[in-house]
Amino acid sequence: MHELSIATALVEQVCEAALAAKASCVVSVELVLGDLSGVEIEALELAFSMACQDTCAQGARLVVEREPLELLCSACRRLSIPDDIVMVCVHCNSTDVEVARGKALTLKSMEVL
Amino acid sequence: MCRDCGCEQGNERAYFAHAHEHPHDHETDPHGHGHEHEGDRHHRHDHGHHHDHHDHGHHHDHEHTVSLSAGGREIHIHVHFDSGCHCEAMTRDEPAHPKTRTVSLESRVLSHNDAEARANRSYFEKHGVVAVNLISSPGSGKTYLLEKTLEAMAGRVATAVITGDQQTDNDARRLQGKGAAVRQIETRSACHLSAQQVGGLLKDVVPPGTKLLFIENVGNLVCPAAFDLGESVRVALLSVTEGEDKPRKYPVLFHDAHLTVVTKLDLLPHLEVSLEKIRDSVRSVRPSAQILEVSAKTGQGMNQWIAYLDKLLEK
Repeated sequence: MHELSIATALVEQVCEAALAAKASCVVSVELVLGDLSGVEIEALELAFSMACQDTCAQGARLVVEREPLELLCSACRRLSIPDDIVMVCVHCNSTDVEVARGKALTLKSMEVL
Repeated sequence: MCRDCGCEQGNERAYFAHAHEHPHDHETDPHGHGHEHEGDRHHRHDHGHHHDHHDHGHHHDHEHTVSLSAGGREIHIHVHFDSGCHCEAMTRDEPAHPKTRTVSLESRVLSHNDAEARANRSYFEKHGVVAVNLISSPGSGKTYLLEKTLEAMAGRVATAVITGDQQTDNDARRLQGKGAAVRQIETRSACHLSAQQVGGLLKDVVPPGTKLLFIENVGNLVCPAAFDLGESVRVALLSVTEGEDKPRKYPVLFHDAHLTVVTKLDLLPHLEVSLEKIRDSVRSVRPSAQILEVSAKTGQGMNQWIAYLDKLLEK
């Protein structure tokens, strides 16, 4: 359940940013979460609501934008999104691929009042 | 462009809570100007502002208290319209509804851990230390592999170990007396080590002159994978008893690991496990994976493991 550590880090950042923006409360937080980030959305949502308690983000909504795993193939130079987390090019079956996207664990933005 | 009137002032509307103070008859005011009430104790503050806005200068006397539900309680926040569009939608006599504004951030959630990891990494680089982060499920043989590794390195390479568990210093006690500085981190409820925890021990446990540091992470295939500790290499361990498809089931660790060490080879005769299937599973999530197969008990494959470490030390 490292999602609690992650949620705590997230709320700390959110509250610092809210203070800097002279906001009085945080209404929602938008996060980008890659399929290869190792973070479980449901667990993070639960942890987030706990981590928000008694902070300026109490009651804030967590909006998660999923970032699929996207591979760049060195053989055919094309991008592909595999069905599963398997490092194989969907177009040419080459395993000479690198991760182009899918590792994000990014605090994108927040809505504040 | 303003969504309501189409003027060029934009639609940001810039509603925000006042940063100034009001006298209050409440005992507490935890959020400065925005504050919470249990129940229905509405109140008002009067404050006038003058706004000159695009083609019409007009005077607003704001006397609004806006409430919204959050966490089951009513939060009352004063907003006013500063710059931006003051079109008809906003100049009616009816109280304005609060609109939020968006703050763009675009930062890594674990940026604090990342910063600590960078500091650790520069410490290792400055002092010529190779740091090996060992990650596996509990019981896959990290500590036993380390015991045998320290014995092989003793007197030859200045080595240190930081070992993490939720409770007990059993592992540190097992590793002591083998020529390495050893320190246990008890993480209590945490399921992984953080860069900060490791960084806090470096001066004591990894003094200048140390060449090799093993960080034995908390036994867990999932959580430690998300936290960079500043290590030089990340090594995943997988014992032959854990099942051939673990890398497919837990891809993040095995994708990120520079090396996968398959352990407990001596148990193979007792199991219906195919090493080839384990290798395929590792390579399905990291096609270029380097894989070593060892038994710390019989010594099988240990020479290759020690050779791998020696090669890291040469760099």
